[in-house]
Amino acid sequence: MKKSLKSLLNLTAFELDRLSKFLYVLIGLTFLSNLISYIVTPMRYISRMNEYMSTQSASSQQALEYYNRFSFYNAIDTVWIAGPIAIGISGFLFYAVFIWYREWMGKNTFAYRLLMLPVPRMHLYFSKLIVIYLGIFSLITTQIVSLFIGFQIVSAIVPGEWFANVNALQAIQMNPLFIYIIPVEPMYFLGVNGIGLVFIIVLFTLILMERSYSIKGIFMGIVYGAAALAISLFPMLISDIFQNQYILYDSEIILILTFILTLIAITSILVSRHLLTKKITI
Amino acid sequence: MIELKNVQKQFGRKKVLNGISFTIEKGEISCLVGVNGVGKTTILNAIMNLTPIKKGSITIDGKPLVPELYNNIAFIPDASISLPHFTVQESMDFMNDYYDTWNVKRAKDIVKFFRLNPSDKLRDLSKGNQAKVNLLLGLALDVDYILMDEPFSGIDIFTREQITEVFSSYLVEDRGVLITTHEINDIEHLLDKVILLDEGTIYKEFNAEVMRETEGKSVIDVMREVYNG
Repeated sequence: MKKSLKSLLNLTAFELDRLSKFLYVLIGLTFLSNLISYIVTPMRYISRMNEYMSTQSASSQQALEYYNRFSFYNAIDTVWIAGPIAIGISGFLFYAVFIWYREWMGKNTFAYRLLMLPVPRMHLYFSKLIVIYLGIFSLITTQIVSLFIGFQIVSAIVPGEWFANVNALQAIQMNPLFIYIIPVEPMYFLGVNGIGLVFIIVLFTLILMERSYSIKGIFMGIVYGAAALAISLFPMLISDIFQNQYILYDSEIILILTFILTLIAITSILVSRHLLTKKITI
Repeated sequence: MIELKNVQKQFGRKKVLNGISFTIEKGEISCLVGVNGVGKTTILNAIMNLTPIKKGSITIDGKPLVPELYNNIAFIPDASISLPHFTVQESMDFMNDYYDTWNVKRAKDIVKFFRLNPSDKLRDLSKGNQAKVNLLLGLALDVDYILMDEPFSGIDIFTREQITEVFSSYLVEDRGVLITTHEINDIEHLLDKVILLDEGTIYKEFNAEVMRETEGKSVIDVMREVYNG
């Protein structure tokens, strides 16, 4: 047991090392882009305020009435903040596919070495899954740290009388993007990450189907993926399907959805285990 | 003993292996020979559970291949299977991290024997030196069985001579070795068993030395008879 855990940790550390460059780029991009937002957005506001006051011969109070106070929310509701988040999400989606296919790429087939390691093959699977989530959480942590640094920057740039009394946490809670990716609302955070995790688990199964059965595997994957999606959507469509004879409360839908997603995740892991141990082909 | 019983495999509609049965004993060097596409590599991949078989069974010392058994059987494919950005030393460290049977002293001996530089990156090595690293990573394991796929493929004559030396050295002593090669001339005198494949079946299984003594034929002569009709 101890040896098995050690090999899983070794593999995870190995995969993390392979992810590191990609992750550093995403972290750097997030910091840089956020920094631009924290500096450029309040500077623009100050410039607009000053321009209004000089062109209209208005007082600071009149300018405030025209433009309102600047809050931290204004600094985070920009494409400089949303952009790296979108890049991070699509980057990790790409990486979830790349993390398997790179083992077969090129003339040096590292899949040989990995599949011949004297460790359960599911360790390969879990190390890849864990690393993707470590990457995602590293990026979320970066975003959180950046937000709190950003608040200090913005409050230092904007004059006190022009700065609205909205703290970083309130600003994050007001942002429709952040309530899903930052754990300020635990239910939303768990929901989004739970759905994301099941999505990656199903995606891994589809990849392993293709790696095991080639073209036939692609069709199997399409059918499996479509079936998983249809089953997941079922609780939301119950009232439509039964023409409003059965209407479920939101809490009931969430409960059924949680059950269904758990079932899909378990089934996918079992299918992946079978493929990885019995069907995968070099 | 590695034992294959009635192994069958097909790719799409094409039957590649059609009832292959043979054994590999410890202390024996066996060679799978046959023209391209006859299923030699598929057999090695099947033994290592890298290609699932359709029917039949493959056992190692009476047991089906489970992950722990990779500590007791080494496969040396004909392409580099370590990461290109790894150095030779990093490739060895990787093996040491996972294999209980990695023998550090033997690895050092092999590095010296092949005159490899541990700090060289694999991507910078010539094909011959990459083949040597492949051999290093397989031969430094204290295993009972070694499978080698075309170890002489695309390498110069001097490297070939060095690799041939391996077959008569302590590195393969007391181990069961199964090799596939087209360059049979170089190692013919070292072989205990030759398994000649044709159209997915074993056409003939014989001892190269006995064949030479009794019928006056080399392995190449036997292959000519089979493939030239």
